Amino acid sequence: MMKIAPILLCCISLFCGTHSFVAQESSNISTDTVPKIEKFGIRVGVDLAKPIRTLIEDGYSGFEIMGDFRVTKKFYAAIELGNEKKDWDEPYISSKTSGSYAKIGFDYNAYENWLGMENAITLGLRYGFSTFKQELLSYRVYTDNPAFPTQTIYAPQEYSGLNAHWAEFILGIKTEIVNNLYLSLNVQLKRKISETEPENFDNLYIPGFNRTYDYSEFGVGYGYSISYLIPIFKKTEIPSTEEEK
Amino acid sequence: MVKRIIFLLLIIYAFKGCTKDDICPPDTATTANLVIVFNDIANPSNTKSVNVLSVITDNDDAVEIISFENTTEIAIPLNTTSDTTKYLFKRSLISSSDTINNIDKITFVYQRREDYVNRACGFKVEYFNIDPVLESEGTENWIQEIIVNRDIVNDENSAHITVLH
Repeated sequence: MMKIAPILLCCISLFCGTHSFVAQESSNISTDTVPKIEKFGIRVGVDLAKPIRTLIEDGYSGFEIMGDFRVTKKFYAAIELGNEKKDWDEPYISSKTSGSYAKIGFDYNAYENWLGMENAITLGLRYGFSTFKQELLSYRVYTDNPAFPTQTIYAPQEYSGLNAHWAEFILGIKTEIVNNLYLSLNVQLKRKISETEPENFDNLYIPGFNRTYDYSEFGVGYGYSISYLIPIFKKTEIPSTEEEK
Repeated sequence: MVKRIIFLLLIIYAFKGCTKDDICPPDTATTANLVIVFNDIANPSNTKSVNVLSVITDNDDAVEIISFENTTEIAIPLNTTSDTTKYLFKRSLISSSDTINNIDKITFVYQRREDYVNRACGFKVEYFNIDPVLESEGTENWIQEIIVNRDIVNDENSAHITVLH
């Protein structure tokens, strides 16, 4: 069930991607000489993947909102804010993590748009920060000898006031599906910079960072979001290079 | 271009589902066993093997932990849920006519601390202030003396206890 969701999302975006690709070619013909109005402003959005996961995955709930603002033609300042809860339920450890996070950084649009189009293939960098708490619900002592069998010990302990910092690389695509409305899909590679570890336990999950790995500082993630551009500024741009195409 | 990137993303998703470090690897340092060496009472720095030795837990459902012939070193587990572990050390002298068994009782008294290992292995137990108590049977004991080399059991690198016989 859990594995179907990302594939499904990919198929949806595949459809959206090709749809806009076709649309670009047709609009290009009609816009080669007319000066176009370039609009930009604040783009705000929500992550769709997290509410979907909340519905279909047991032991997970989360949401994320985001915003970006065009600083130069290619660079966008970007921010993501979110909250996540995740249960970890395995034979030897059972725990629960909950907390909020913020990611601040920029996106670079590596995609050369036809005039008037607002699609993007973005490379982004973020600084991520999370404050959270962890609860150790139950645990077992590992022993490989059957002479003294161990039992699961239920002694809930709460570790609060934890935090973590990480750097994140984001690769994403963004397409304008209708006027000012964007769908975007991204994958994230993260590396922990620092974290406060609970005494005699570990951070199994960090909100915004996703699950941690015992022998690695890296983490991965993905996002599928819908966002709306509030067009505050409008700029008329005279086509120069576009005519040659 | 867009399609190619989506295809790439799809591959990343496929591999994401395969990452598994949730199985406890066998070489992980989990709860350590108590390592005992057997030395000669006449010359305590020399090892002296026990001809046939079996170690049995001294409780209701007596479990034979190990059974060895001509052994000088053994590793036995300690109870992770109790501050004492009782063992029967049975030495069997087998001759052509009969077998003479001599059972000595040792009670290990200690303190415990639970340490986090990782998400797959859970916790391990570290034992402190190991104190082996030999139940005296006068001249009937085959074990003459017990020496504690290291009173913290957290690894199996060298012997924690030396038994002289």
